[in-house]
Amino acid sequence: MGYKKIKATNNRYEFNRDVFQNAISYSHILVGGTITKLTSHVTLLRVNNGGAMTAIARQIPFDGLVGNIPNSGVVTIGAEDIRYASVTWNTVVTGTLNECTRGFNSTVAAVHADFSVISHTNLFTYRDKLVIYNYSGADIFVGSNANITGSINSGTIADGVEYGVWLSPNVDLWVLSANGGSITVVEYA
Amino acid sequence: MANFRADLGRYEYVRDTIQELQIASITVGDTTVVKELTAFRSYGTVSHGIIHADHTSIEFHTMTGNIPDKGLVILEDEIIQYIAVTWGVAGAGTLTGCKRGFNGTTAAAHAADLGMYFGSAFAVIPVGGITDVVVTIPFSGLSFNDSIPESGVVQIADEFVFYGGVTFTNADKTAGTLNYCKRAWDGSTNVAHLAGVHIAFEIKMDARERVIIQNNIASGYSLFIGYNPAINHHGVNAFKLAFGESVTLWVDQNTKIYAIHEASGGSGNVVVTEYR
Repeated sequence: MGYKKIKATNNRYEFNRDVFQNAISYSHILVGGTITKLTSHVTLLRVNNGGAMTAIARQIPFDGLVGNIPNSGVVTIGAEDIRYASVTWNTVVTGTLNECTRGFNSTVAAVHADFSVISHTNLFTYRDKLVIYNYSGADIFVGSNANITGSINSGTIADGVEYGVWLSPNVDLWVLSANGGSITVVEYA
Repeated sequence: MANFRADLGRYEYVRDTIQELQIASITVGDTTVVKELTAFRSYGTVSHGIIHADHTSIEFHTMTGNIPDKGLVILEDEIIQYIAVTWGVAGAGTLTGCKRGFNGTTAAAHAADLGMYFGSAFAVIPVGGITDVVVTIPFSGLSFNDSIPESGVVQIADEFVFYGGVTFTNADKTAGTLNYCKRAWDGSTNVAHLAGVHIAFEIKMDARERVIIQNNIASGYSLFIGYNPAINHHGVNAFKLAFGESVTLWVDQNTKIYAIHEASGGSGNVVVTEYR
């Protein structure tokens, strides 16, 4: 899990080895017979600004979220990376990205049209643990690459079972389900 | 567990000994409200009986939720530090060891049945007040300068408000605005607030290490849990906790946890245990 700093009660820093400092949970809708990359997938949403968004706007209203985004992170619109510091949620799929740092990662801040696609990759820099909850109604098969056929090259997670694995952000997982259905992934960092 | 004496004259305990514990029941109701799970949220607390300026014990009643065993409370314009709670029936008790007029406020007499608000810091709504819909909320008179998190939840009278940023407007960082607010947070009702109404900043367990969530809502009904409000009662972006089950989450004090009841019109209690 790494050695990370937490701020203790008396303004000193202590190292804490086993407390997660960030978490996100997101669902996947699996398609029967199709191998799905479970981690580091791209979540899509779109600008809903009521008009074009300027290159200096520090708030980005959004809608159409499919998947989930962390409470702070980096999104991409066109060629521009934008860091946001918080999210104000209006509904499960709409809200506002706040305190945006435009032109992040040495990209160029630009004007973006209303309804521009916003993308986000669910990736914590220091992801430590990942838990898969299988609610799909059938077994799912999890592998370290897309070379999965049934239980070949994969581990099996039965319906209704959760499976936790300590996994760095550089390692991804793929999943195959015969019947489709929904699963939830929780990442901890 | 054995303890040993560490440097600086204090006692430290071995790694797996719980040093602070808080257990609270939280009512989760209706599929339209995503409830934030935290052990330190209280509602509807009022003072009991007339309080004189020199009283060091202060009675309260009508409270739901839970409060820390020691902390700060604001009563009218006076901040009071208490060091213990003597409980009577549930929701009523006495704050003891009170230090009156804390942090430069003035110890004063108070009438009975006044609202009491527990928090980690306090501020007031400045001249002009706020409407029931504004999403940028000014504040002044912050009790501990530059002491509030960049985002969090505040209580203003009986309304809870999420804020996503803070801008300070004076050099000593006691005044500014709470930005990107979401009014009527956590199932409360948004209303206008007059100048002088207090803002209480939420209490967190410093250096929290574990949270246990137990689903006691009703037999046969599951709870869905996630780490932001983007969850729904169908389980999107959430994981399920069946009735009677509990889960232990290893998350720090800044990681918020949210829950929603799976059944429309349903309501019941979730037990949240926080410890470090």
